[in-house]
Amino acid sequence: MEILRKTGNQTGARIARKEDEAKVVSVRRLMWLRFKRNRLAVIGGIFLLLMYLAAIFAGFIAPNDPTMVHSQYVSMAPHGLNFVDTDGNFHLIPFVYGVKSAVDPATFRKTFQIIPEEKYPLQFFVRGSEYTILGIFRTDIHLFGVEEPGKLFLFGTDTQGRDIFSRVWFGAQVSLSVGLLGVFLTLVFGSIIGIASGYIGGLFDDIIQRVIELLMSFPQLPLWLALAALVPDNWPSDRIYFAITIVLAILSWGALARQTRSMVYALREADFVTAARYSNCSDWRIITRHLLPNTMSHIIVIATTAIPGMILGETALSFLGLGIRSPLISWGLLLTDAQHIRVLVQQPWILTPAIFVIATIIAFNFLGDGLRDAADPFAK
Amino acid sequence: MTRYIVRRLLQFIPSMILIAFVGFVIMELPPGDYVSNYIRAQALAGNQDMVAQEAALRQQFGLDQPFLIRFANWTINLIRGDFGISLATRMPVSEIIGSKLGATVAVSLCVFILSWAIGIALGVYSATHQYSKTDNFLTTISFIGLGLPDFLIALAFLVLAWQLTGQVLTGLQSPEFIGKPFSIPLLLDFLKHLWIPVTAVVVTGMAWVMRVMRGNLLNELGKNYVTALRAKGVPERTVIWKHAFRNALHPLIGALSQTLAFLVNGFVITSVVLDLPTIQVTYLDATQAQDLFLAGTILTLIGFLVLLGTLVSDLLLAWLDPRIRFS
Amino acid sequence: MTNMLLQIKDLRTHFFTESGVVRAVDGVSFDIAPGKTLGVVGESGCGKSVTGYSILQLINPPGRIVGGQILFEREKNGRKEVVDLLKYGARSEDIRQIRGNEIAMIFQEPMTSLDPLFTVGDQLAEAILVHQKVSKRSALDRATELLDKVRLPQARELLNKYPHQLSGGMRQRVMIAMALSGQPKLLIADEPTTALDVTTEGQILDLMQSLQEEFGMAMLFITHDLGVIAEMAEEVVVMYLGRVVEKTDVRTLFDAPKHPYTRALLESIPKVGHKHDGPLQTIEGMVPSPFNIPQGCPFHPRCARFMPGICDEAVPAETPLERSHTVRCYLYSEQAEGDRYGNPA
Repeated sequence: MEILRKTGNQTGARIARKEDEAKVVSVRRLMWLRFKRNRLAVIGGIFLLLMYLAAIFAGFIAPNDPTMVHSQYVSMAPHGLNFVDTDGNFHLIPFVYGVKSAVDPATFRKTFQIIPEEKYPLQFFVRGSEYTILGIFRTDIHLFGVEEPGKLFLFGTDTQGRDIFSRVWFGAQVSLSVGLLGVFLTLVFGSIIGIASGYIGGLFDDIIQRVIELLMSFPQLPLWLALAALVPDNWPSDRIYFAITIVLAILSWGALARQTRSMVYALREADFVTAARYSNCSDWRIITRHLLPNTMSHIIVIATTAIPGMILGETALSFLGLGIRSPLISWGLLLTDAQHIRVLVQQPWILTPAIFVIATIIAFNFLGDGLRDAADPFAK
Repeated sequence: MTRYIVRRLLQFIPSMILIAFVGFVIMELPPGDYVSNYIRAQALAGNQDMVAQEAALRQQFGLDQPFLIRFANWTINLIRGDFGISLATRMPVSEIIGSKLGATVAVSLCVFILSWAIGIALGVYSATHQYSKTDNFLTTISFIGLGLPDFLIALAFLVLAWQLTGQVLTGLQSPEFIGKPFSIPLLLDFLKHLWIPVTAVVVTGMAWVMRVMRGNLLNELGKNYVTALRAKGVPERTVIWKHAFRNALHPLIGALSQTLAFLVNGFVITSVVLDLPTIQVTYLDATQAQDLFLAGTILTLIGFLVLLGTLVSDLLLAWLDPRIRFS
Repeated sequence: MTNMLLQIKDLRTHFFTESGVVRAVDGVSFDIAPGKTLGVVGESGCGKSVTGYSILQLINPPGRIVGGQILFEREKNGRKEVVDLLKYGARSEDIRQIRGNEIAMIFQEPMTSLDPLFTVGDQLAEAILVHQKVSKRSALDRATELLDKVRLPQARELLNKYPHQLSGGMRQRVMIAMALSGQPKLLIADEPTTALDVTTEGQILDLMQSLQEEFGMAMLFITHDLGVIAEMAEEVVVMYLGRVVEKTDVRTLFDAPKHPYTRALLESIPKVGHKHDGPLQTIEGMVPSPFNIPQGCPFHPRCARFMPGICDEAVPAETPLERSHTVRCYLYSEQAEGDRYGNPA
């Protein structure tokens, strides 16, 4: 049907319509079927599900405390798992070598060397630093780790000697939730304003439309920067987190409000709404019982497509030092060191969190595309 | 047509005032002003005698007057072409902006032309070869490119360039060429630096243009008039370029409204990480330092370019599409 | 059967969609004599338009012509020769020269059949210039003549109008003028009046008839409207689910239809002068999904005279009755064709 629709050949379209008649299935099922057929969207969805789960269980996945400074191991390159040792022997359970640091006499730079005699095999469900999951469950069991004094730094350490791998998962908590929270706020602003604008109409509608027009045509980033610069430095980090989320949401409700409004407009004239009005339904009831359910799937799709923009926005702001601040961790914050070019070129592994940012954004784009197609099973 | 243009020009003025106002308000919002920040910084640095000058400084910058008067003064001066002076550097704002404009537009124009040219070419190819392997490949690539943050790509390129050549290619020129008159080696050096920001931004910008182009052209190619054109024996090349392509340009021309603003304000963060001598970096510094007149002027300039871009794209649309022209 | 202008033989056009293959046209054959009008009638989705598009190879992917011949008699250098249009590629120069020149086509949706960005004059002149080596000026003169021919007043001013400034009827006249520009031997009219109101429809049909006479062209008239068929066609082809079920002249079609589908179609239209008791007859059931065409005679699930064990086994063969009347139905012959889906063995 997808293909037929794209040929646009009238005859093809007619055939496609026939197909819809032939299969009498519920709209919801049709959406699911369509969504499932978009393989990239499904992969994106599964990936995101895993990422969000990993963010929730960050403490469990991370072998180290993300704020712990390992002063002996500052700026160490990724220190991977080995199956084969220096003598060429194979080990079924991977291990890490012990490491000693030394100063290169020629460059005076710190270098790390493995100690072939010291092998620390990977262990599962090991006890380590204490953490909580969702702020409720307190435990000290980690998915994997190595026995002290061995160190496991899968992605290396940052300029202060903190484990990047562990920080990535804790950073995911902030970066991924900013997207969701921001979109939730956008959803609330956007749909309320959109529905009101469409339902009330008149001058109110006109003014709202002009404001949206201006908001949408103006480049977001300079305004984000200006607004983020307003957030006082001395606020506690969790308040900054909410402030940043609001900054991200406050500029992006326009598209959503506009979509909602046009759908309300279309639906306002729909027969079933007229019917509801004749049967003495109150405005509130019409909105909540008839208009909202009908616009919901579209609203959700538009909201999903806004999430990657928000995640990028947070990353950018934090990267520039205008967003999330320590002791909170976010992907953008993890990347701030990369602003110092000398540091970056000598320790390129500090860019690792960027891979997570990019993968997440691509996954969201794939998911959004699939949802967009699915939300409109009778798309013209 | 003339009436249309006049009407659009009249709408321009209130929007412009609104934008200037919003820009000014945003700059004013933070607690304290530039002078108090400055004095605090000086005091921290042990420069206690500055404190006595606080009132004088404030008077000098006109910061002691009520908000609306300051706004009115600023707006009137804007219209006169006097953008005030930068509080941080004590240089005229117009001079600062002027000194950055050349490099900014040079980089942005390269980015704009390349991403649109490549994006349009690939989009047309993809749409006219729908279902082919190349089409699938290009569509996937554009999808991935669309989500990529350009500053991260720029950073990756920077690392790559360092590992290959041992040079750190930030900025737009090597130190030894700065301020030198034009020469071939200077041009080569410039190009050597230019490719990093340009490629990084083009990858993402191109992806968007390509997607829009492909989507619209496919949509147009499926329309009845295309079949009718083929049925009357018009060569396929003419069908695509003279007819379908022109019809498909609609949304791209609509997007031109953002382009002028993009030219001075695209890829802010890429500029920052690559330390380019562009207005974007000036703007970011000014916002952070609360350099009121400088940041406000740049923000207003961006707003002005947005409005101007919208006007230009509307006029282009009217020129392209008789349905708009005659309505 | 000699001297046919166009002979379609066993044409098969299928759409290869993600959800399966749609056999939109599956073994269609018919002929058109020079200067005559052949009507193709059937419900929407029966493949009549796809047949029309196939002749000029205007099928877009995922559709593809998978088999058959379309023999067209063309005059080249004063000699008559018969060519198989399907031998030419859809993008070949040969087919391009035939399109709009020797075989022209008009469409169902006059509102969307013109490029909105160009004037009527530009688009008419373009049709002339792609086939004839003349100047733009003389092409525009010729365009004015053509607009006069289709009885559009003030042709000169019309040249500078854009499509959106014209009504549906006017646009269809422009389309007809464009189709006439190459003085075609054959005009394919794909439901040209379906989108128009009844008065305009009558005017357009009259116009087409008189122009047909004047230009001496044959016409393939595709419609779902039996009334229009009665007015326009001389020979008629009735299609159902991609196949021709009955083929005859227009008198016989209305006086002595043979195929149960044709009869059902005729019974479903009201007749002036006949007193009807009770509601109008309709054909039972719905057109089956094109992805899932019933085996055997495709009409059997809806047929009033369905014979179990016969009709649902194999596709009936085309049976000649009298004169040029043929029908595909086991009521008239036991002969089957191909396998149970009518594929050649």
